[in-house]
Amino acid sequence: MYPYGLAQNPYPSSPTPTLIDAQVLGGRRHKEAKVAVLSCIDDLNSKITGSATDKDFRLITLIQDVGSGKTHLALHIRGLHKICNNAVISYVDLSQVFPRDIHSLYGAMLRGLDKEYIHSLRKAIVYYLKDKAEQNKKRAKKFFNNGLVDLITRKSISNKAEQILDGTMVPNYSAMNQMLIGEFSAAEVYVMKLIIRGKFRDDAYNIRNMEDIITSISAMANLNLKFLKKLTILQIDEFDSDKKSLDFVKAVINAHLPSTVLMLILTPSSYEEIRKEDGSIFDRLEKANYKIDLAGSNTLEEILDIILEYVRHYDLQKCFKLQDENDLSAKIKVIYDEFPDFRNVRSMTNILYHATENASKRNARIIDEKAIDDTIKSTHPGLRIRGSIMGVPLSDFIKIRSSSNDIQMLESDVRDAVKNLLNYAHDMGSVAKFEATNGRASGIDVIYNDTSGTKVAVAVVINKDHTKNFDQISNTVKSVGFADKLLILTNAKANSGSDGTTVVNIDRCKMTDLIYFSSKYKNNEILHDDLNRALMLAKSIKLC
Amino acid sequence: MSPEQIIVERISSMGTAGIKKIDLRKEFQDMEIDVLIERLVTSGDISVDKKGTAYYCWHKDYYIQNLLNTDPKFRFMYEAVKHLELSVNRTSDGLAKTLETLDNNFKNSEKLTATKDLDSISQARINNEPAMQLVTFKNEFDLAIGNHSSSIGWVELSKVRNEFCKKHNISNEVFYSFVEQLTNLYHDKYELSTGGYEGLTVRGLLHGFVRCI
Repeated sequence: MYPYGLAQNPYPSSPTPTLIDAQVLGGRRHKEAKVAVLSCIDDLNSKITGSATDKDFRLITLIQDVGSGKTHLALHIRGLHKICNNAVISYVDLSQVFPRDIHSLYGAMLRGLDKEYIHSLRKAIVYYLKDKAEQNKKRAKKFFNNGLVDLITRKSISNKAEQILDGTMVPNYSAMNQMLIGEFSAAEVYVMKLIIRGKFRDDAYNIRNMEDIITSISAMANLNLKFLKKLTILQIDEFDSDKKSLDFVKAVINAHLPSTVLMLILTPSSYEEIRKEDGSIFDRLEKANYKIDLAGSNTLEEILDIILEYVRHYDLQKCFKLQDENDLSAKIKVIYDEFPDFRNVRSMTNILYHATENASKRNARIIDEKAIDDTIKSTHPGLRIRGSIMGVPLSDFIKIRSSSNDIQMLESDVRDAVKNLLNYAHDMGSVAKFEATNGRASGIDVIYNDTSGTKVAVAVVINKDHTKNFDQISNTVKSVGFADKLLILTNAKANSGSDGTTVVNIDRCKMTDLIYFSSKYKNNEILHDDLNRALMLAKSIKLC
Repeated sequence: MSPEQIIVERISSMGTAGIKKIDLRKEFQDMEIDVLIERLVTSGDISVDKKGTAYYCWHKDYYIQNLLNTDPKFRFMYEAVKHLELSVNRTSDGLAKTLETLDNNFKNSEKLTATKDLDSISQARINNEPAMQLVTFKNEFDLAIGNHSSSIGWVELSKVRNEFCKKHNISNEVFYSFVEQLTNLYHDKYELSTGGYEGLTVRGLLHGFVRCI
């Protein structure tokens, strides 16, 4: 069993998405991009009445950085029921096409069409011819080799159509030319023959030049519209500045393929390279009908929604409650804030995949801190919390950060931690034992003598009204005069205090260090390795 | 208890009044008082001084107080020294604060430079202030992105850097350190993208493009 009662790990195991992974689409920006693509398709659909013209071509560019979810979005769109009912999609990953020439590029495009589509188009064409034959069209009957024997044996045209589809009968292809003349172009008839033969994908070996390719794709698009009432969508992923790819795409754009949407997926870097490489194609891309922008695809808000959406999608038992969402979000936020390396959809889903596996092996009900800690340790062994003197493990860091949202509690924890750290420094002989404040001055938390005999009063101030507090404490100490030096530890951005007052800024990382130390100290868990770290921590906040 | 400890305790019990050496001799006839006192004076545990015609012994904790009570000259000098000490302490605190400020500035400058450019660091810290504040950099940087961005909003960092470094006379390293700080601090406002020939390295990848979200 996986965390949150899931039957499987919801996150993709590989760095690039599969069609199954792409069923899940999270993130506001990704969803908006999806809506934009769908609206482009709807718009084109609404423009086509009857047969398509060269005006019925659309160009979409999807440009964003690596790992931001472009391919995921393309595959998600490909898998949508709404799209399947309205369009035929060929998905080409150009990174898999090598060497690149017109044959390999066209071949990849044909391979990008799924088998189901080819089967349905074949069936539609054969049934169309069957209908013609049944309407007593002489040429159509010839196609089915329908003769006297068939009449005697009562073998119907329908039977023969099924036999053709089964591959148990070879029709008379030569009859097709004359039968379909006027209704279809020669190229369309040629493609229809290839499809009936089941050799459509082999067309890549038959073409001689770019013109042949354009003619074939155009014919295919027309057939899709006529027989399936569907648009043709050509998705070209990892589009780059390779000369052959540019020529290919340029030709496709110039051809104004009927009832076709060309969707180019590329990175900003490739876009810039294309600009330098070929101004002509760049200008065409600049004038794309839709420029899908995934701006902000790597923001925390977007990543959070994507991560949570995976769990929601597979949460059939509805075990993933709001509290679990908040808990997981808080953990992801810490990873996002602390490690710039994970501010990316792909990196975060990768971490979550491994963390889910880890939690599952331990039968953890949720993706806990340990799962994330273990994952980061094993997948990124060199990563450390930035600026942590105590070397706080990520699991403890997440726990402390989550519990420090309450300012009052945080201040109290830091105050205790400072006392514990001074106690420890005293044990190590770095400072004299501290005195009880006995209410001598409000705001003073500890008083102790440092190594040079100076009496130091320490105040921890972690709240919003810092200035007021500094002055209050400083004035009290001056008026009572029981300390030589006042040390204020605060999270405020203050560089120095008034005379005799030292203000030390302790950021969130330092506070986490203090609370982590304090917890270990209280539980007698201080190890040899912690000894120097703790003294260094005390020095870093000028306690000794 | 050793004879020395007995003597020290006896002297201490007399407080700031001290005790006559002769009285000690009478009290501890079985001890060699002169030898013991000499030893204790050498170790600094007691002080011996003439008061009137007699020699008195004081415990180290009470001798100074005795002098403050009886010797006005000493008192004045003591107060002068204490005043001096206070003044030194204040100066020392002030110095510590200055060092702290310098330290902060230095850390900032350190963050600013991905590859240490000592010349630019020293330039950046004249008068304890960076040559350019992050907020100034941000404004100029946003403007440069706006000026150079293509229709999709992305800009090659090298283009911005070229113009920026010439205009503000800063090194490439300082420029990229500022960019690193800015994109880390405002990660919800800027996006970096891989590619290009120069830029910032994130996840081991060179990110040479930037845009405002």
